[in-house]
Amino acid sequence: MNVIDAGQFKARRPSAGRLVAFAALLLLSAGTSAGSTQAGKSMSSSSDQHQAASAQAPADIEILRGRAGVIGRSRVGVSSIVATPPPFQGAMPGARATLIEMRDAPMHVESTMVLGEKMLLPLADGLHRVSKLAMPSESDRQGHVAIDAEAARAGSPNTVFASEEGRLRIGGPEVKAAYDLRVLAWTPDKHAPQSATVEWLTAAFPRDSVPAQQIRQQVVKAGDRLQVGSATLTVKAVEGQTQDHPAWIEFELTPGA
Amino acid sequence: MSSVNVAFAGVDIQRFLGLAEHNPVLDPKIGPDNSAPNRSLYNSANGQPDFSNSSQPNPNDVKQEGYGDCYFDASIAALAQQHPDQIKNMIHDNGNGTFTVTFPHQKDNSAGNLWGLFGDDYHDVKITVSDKDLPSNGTSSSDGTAKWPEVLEAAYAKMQGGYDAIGNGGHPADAMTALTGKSADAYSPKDGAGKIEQALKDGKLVTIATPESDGDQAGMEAGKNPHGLVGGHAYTVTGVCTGPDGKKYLELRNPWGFDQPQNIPLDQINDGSIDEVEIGNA
Repeated sequence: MNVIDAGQFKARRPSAGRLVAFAALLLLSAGTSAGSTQAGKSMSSSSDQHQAASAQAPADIEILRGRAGVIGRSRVGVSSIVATPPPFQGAMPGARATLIEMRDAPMHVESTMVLGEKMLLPLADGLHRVSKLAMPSESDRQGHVAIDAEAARAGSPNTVFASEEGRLRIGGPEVKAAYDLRVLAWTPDKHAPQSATVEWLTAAFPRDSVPAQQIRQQVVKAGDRLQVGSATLTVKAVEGQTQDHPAWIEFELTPGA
Repeated sequence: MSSVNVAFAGVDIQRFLGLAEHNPVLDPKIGPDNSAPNRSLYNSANGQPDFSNSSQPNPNDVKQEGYGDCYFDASIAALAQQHPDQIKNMIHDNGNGTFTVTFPHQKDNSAGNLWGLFGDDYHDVKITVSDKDLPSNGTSSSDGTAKWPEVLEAAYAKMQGGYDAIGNGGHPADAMTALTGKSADAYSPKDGAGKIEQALKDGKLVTIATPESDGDQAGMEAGKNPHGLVGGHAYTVTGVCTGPDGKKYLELRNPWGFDQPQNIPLDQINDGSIDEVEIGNA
């Protein structure tokens, strides 16, 4: 089988050879205690360490790569953690993570962001700081992201963001009921944008399969409104990249009927 | 039975002897009582609690959280989609805050079967869990979500020896076999692509698994799996549909309950983004 070992999905355990087990039983009955460490223990040590660390530092919520957790009224998933490439300006060196926030109220919304350590993650109850990004390693096989449980800045469930390299999904959770919005360009640039060009289309299919007339584009600045599916997005601000966050558009979300 | 908790040459002797089934130990990290009064075993079609137990399990009830058991969660979502009645048959609500889950037709590896030296023996395995066994960060622990995924997860954990035994990775085909008592197979994407649509029509359970590494595959930018798939993860295949370009696409469900990937062109599943297709009889 073409299967690799992975954090959550992993190769099928080879079926235990009965003769091997029989031999093991004989060894056990002879009083052998050499195998007193459960094989699974070493596999779980990483998560145990994280949970122990969490217990010591309740201000942080740690989410392993490939998993999801709950912070306030949001569910947050970590889909990848990778080394920061040199051109990633403005990020703390070391790593960046792709984080997905989901909130159900006032409607189903998902925001995907690529963030570095110490940057702010917008959630339903405010902006939370990413306190740590740990790359996968021998002792931390999955890698993990630690996020401050307390919001560094107050926010609102009706405030949503579309960021550089990110995606704002409006509607869902099924893709056929959702639209994906991305920022295509910052004008004049992402460091001090006055406006941005955004594009949105169905979340169900790849862009190159969607008829051109079903792909919407618009240049937006503060105060502009977009109708995305049944929802209305009002641009509150177009903010440039800083040490705290990537370039992003802050929207006020008004759910449709 | 005294606690025997040893491994030898990678073999979990306790499980192999069948002790885990009869003397299960739950992970001590299990959280608080999650028997919130606003949670029912099954929710109605509009997602509201249904305490009459007349509603059906729904794949959307599955919301993976803290444990690394996407392979199990993707499999129970597949079962909920294809055969929700089987899940209802598996779970018996004892009416006293406990549930007895029956895993059908499990292979007996116990000493009583002489370790299968003279042929395999199969029997149903019944596991009883209580509301208090449900973890605080399990499959669907949020208020108002249906409890059946957590009940199945807790029983599976108990059968396998605890949450640590199931929460650090596994294989969807093994989970499917545990759920249905029937065989399940894994295929390369190339071999599996042609089987998926018919398998779904035949009522089989279908999942896919992604490669572990982010960007190790040729041509991929680091951290960006094609089609927006999470690395080292399992997804339920919920259908095959026709796209606006006339091509056939796979419809997938992320067991997280969100971050659902775009539908994937069936003719592109061999592009390195998918490691394996699992198909289980049901």
